[in-house]
Amino acid sequence: MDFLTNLDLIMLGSAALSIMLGLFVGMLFGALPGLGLIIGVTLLLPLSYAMSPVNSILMLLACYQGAEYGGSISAIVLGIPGTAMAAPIVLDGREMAKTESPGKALAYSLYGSTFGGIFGGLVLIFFAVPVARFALKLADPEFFLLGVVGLLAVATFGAKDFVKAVISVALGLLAGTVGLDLFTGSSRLTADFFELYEGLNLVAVAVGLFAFSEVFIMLSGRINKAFTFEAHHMKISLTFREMLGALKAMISGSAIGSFMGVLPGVGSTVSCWLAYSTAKATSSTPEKFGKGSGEGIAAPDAANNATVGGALLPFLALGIPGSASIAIIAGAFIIAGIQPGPQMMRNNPELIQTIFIGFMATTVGMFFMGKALTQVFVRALVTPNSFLVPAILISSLIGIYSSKGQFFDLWVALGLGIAAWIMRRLDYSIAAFVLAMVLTPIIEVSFRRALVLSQGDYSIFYTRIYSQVILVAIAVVLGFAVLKTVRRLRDARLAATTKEAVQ
Amino acid sequence: MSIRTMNLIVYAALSGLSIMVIRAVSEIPVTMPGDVGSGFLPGFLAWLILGFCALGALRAVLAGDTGKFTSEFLGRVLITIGVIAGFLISWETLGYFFVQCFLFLFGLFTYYRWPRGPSARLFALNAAVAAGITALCYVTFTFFVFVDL
Repeated sequence: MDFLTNLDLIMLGSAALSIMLGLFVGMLFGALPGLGLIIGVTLLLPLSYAMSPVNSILMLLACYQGAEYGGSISAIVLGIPGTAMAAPIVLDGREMAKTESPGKALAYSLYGSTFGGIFGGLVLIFFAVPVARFALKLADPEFFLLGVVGLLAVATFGAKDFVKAVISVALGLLAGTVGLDLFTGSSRLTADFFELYEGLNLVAVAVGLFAFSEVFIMLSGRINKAFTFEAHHMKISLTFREMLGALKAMISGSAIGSFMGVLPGVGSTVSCWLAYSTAKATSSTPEKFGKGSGEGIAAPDAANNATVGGALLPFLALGIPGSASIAIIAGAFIIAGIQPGPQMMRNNPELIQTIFIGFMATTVGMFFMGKALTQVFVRALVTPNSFLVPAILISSLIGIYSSKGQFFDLWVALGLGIAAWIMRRLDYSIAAFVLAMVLTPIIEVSFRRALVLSQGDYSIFYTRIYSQVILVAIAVVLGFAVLKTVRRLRDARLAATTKEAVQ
Repeated sequence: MSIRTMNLIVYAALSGLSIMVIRAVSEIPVTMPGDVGSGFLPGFLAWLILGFCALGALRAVLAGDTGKFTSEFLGRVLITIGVIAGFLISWETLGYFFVQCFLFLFGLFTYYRWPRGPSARLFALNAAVAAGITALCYVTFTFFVFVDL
């Protein structure tokens, strides 16, 4: 009852508007091929400066949820996944759109996304507090090691080339050290630019790396190509029987998505493929998969959205973001001066409750907005890149400028955008770069504070039982990385030998 | 240019950057007992980058030629970068953001859509979309985000 009496209608209204804005941008950017989740979140981040912390966090979470569903719209209507996560949805979604109706395929996608979103939200609500309570037992050495595990996992699981992924992580950490040192107050790597004393502007870095580099990649292709499709049978609804038929797939997809979301560096791309194959393996009609199966659409979509709740769990409970999108959402916390983690869960329970309730509201909002506006997003698919590119450029520039009012940041973003455009094509990981940059304060402060407390004794990092458990996890991830590299080298050598033999 | 050459150029550039970082942080003193100092992490990371760049370069040399590093429509990308840089300089020196925003958008729309064939309809559509986006930016950032552009 206390919660209900404290309800402020104006606050509620502004939160609802923020969620709707986030959902709209997320679904739109998720639907448009080539843009996707990270650019949507990145372009919304500067608005955080003009919003309350709760509203900005809910807006970004809504964008995240909306983009996960939005990616399926173009996958089903055009056969082109709007996001990498929506790739498995093409298999059955496109087929159902051709043989039955695009509306039904979109409905399976929307119902699956909503189910997954609610499932992921419940996982977050039920597990975040116990995990945070446990995390209160952890000290600086463990937080340092957790940060290292996160970065190693991103470099190992999320990148094509381990050497380049490690370089990307190291560059991101290096970028995070720019500015005044929190321990001693001495300036580092600022080259006497006063704009760098507070560190690199996260908005400028994220926009430069993701939005500008993506724009340059779009410009390297056919920008006047307009997609065409037949917008018939667009009624987005399922019968109760159809919904029940896909329930098992939605449950298994959601469970997989929530679990995979918790793991750093894995993300929705892996989880939705795993959800698809699990749904196929456990289905009573596996022969329908690939020919327009509703379960084949609902399972990966449920996994996609369940990943969001799972990914938020280590971030809110431990303060460790596990993916680039969560790292950018962490920017909203940084802008508001909030440090996520067990202390926040203990000292700021109202904020956590509001995030939990708001998170569930984003999922419900996504369902209704999806029902009402999917046809609008479908029509937006015909917009050629020749219109999108200048619009993204100008909103990026305004977004960066509005964050701190510094022209310096605009030049930083442009420079990083050009560098990222080249380096992305050489398989460097910009997601790992941003994640590392956001994790730098946690890693550095924990490492140095632990050493100061132990008077420079490094044994503090391996004498506690929790540290030892995390060190085992580091060894496992490193072992996997070595195995992956050896396997890759062996495959390359085998391919070269086969090529020589053929010649 | 081959991908191998491009890889080697990037490794060389990153190695150069690392050496600059090592030089910049080498003289930062350690002021607290037990602490590793402000320069430790940047220095360590720069050495790590140097090491991995050497490893990557060695791998690139041993792997041989793996294809061309080409970019279709490179001219269009370079012109866009030039237009952005010009817009930033002009905005910083002259002001009048929304007028320049309209011109920036209209200019890029026209440049990108020129291959469709210039016509009065194309110019009118480009101007209308540019004006619409400029108006949306004006309303959003002036009345909701309260940024003085």
